[in-house]
Amino acid sequence: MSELVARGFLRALFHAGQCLLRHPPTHDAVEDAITALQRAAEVLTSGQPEVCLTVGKEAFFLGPRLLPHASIEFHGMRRDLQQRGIDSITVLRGASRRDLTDLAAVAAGHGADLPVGGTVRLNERPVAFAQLETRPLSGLRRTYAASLDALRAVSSGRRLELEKVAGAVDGFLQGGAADAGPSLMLATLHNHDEAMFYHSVNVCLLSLALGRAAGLGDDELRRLGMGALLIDIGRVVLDDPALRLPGRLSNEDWGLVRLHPQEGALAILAATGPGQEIAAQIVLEHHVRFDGGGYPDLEGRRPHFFSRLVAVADTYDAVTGHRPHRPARTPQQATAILLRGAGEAYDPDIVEAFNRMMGLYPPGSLLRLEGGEVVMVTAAAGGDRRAMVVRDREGALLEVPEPVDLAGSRVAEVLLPDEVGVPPASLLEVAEAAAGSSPGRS
Amino acid sequence: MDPAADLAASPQDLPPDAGEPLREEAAEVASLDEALVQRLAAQFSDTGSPDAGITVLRDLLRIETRRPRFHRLLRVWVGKVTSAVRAGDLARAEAWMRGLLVAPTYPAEYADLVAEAFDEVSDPQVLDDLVVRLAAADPPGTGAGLVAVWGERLARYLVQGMVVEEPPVNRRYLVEFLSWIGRSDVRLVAAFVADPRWFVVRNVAIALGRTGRPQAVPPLESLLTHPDHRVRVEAMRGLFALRRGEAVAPLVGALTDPEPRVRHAAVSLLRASPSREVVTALVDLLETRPPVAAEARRLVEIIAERSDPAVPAALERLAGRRRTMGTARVVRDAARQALAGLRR
Repeated sequence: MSELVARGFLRALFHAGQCLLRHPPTHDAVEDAITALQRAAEVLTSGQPEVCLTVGKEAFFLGPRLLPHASIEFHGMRRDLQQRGIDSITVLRGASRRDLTDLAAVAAGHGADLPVGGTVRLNERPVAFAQLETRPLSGLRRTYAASLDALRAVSSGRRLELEKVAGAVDGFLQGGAADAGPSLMLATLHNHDEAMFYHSVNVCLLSLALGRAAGLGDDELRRLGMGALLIDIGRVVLDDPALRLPGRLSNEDWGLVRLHPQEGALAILAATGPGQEIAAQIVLEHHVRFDGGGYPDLEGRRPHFFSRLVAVADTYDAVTGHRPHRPARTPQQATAILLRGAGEAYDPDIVEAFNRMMGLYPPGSLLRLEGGEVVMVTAAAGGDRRAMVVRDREGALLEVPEPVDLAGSRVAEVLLPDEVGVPPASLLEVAEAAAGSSPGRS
Repeated sequence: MDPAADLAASPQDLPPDAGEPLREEAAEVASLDEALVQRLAAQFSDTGSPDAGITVLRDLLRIETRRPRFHRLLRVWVGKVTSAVRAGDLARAEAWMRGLLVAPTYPAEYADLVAEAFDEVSDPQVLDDLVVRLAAADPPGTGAGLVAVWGERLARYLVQGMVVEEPPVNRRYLVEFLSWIGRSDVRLVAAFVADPRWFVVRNVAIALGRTGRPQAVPPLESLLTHPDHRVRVEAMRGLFALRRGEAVAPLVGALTDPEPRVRHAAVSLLRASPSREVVTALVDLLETRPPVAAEARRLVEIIAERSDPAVPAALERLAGRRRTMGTARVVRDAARQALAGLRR
């Protein structure tokens, strides 16, 4: 049973809970969400009498297995469940609609218990804590989750709480985000439902790594990171559903999109104090081209260095993420786009720095070697580019990826995560352990 | 360039060496060479500068075409100014003020909103805070730029402060700050010379004298005939300061003022004046319109004290007058006495 299935269930549960918060129980949206939850429960329990999801202090577990991705994606829900004393959710095969509805209500914060003997049970933990995969989560991953929460809070509360944003950036810096390897692996995370939030966090990670490579100190990185994390906050402020989804836009929607830098800049200017206002400038300028084009019109003034840096990171992550109208591109294709735009859309020195930092196959890259095995390039250590085999020559998925030295290997093909079925960021902790470094763990 | 519009990128753009062995350089973590690092370092300056906020403010003022949003931007500006004043960060407050008001970038159609915002930031409570901060600032004179850019609204507040029973700071500070405004625009201070309250006009005269601006001379001259002698005294002093002691004519004119305190002030100023015109003007006065005897004698002494080559001749002229009576005789005798002193 894969993490994907568990994530699907948790996503459906989260969504159903959100619907219950926003609508009366008989609303169509709630009915549809419970139906989706039922389907996800069927997939989850397919072939098994019951499945237990453990709600840990830092992560979700499916049986004994750590779910690192889901732990980021549903960090807030996990934390809420944990705080209310819920440490496991057991779903029986054939779970009833009624019981799943009650579970969704619990996920939404209504109550902390379910009727005894139902098809969904809380705190009946068949997996002892001692059996759980206790691989600690990377500090970077925890901070990634906290960053998503900070951005979600802006969306739901309509208020920019800058201390949370600053705290997230500090967490990244302390967790080693300014070292390229782990950050670049984590920055491969994408999520269709919260594309904007994940994109913003990825841009932050990429910008911090690039900023460090360019020689910025901690204070400068802090300001850079804040601006990068908030680059699309204007879209939240504009609060038009069309702007939240990265789909094709009508002309009218485009007019609205072009306002998001100034909307975001205004929101940040209102919330920031001395020394932080550079974040507003980054947000305002991140769509201004190096040659002065783009938007808004700065009347010939060159964007700030930080803005130009974030623009490169922004493009890279956008190109390597899915869009409904086009598939994700490989890192190599993204860097080719940046190179083509260097000197016009992008600062050529920054593009050069970025490409040098990423290398030909940046951490997180998935490569099919000529021998047939599929490897993922992992965080580098000591100047060597290491990798882990994720699928063997026969194509079988390895339960535990195996470290490998790529020297002398021949690359047959560059693959996308969906083609391999392995999200690169899911192996962050494994890669950190293999490299012998574990920054930011508590 | 919105990444969503990168439709020009070809999906066939694979790295040129796909299928090739991983080159050593590709297998190593890439690092930035020193030249590139230096080029990058040269591009980023002090990122903690307050200019970032001002830069954004001015851009938003220029590009924001939606009235409600422009209004919101001005509310943010008000918050920035008031919080800077409250924190005692006068330089920052000045930067925000200048960002909006100097070489403005906003469209003329929003001038009413700007005026409203300026009125809001000029709330008496904010200005109370401001003058307290200014008075406590170290070194003295810090914040002069902020005061100058605040201009008319602050000038009105300062004048009003001279009237209330308990201003937030000693009135001498209010006068000093008023002079700072005058340094930037004398008209803003001169506007108050017609105030019906003598003590206001007196303070305005003091402030005008401290502006150091030649444009302050005409309004001060207009106060030489003010009904209140205290105003006339400060007007004289102000002119004396502005003209660096060369304003002899008004001082001599004041020697015949009906109010003794005005005459005494004029005498003190004449004594301190470095001008070569003093001797000539005093001789002329003593010959044509001598004051009372005691004062006339003092004027002769003033002539005698001066280190001016014209002094002996002037004293001889006064001493040589014949057939004198009353004050004229007093003048003659004082001049002879002074000459004798000179010859000793």
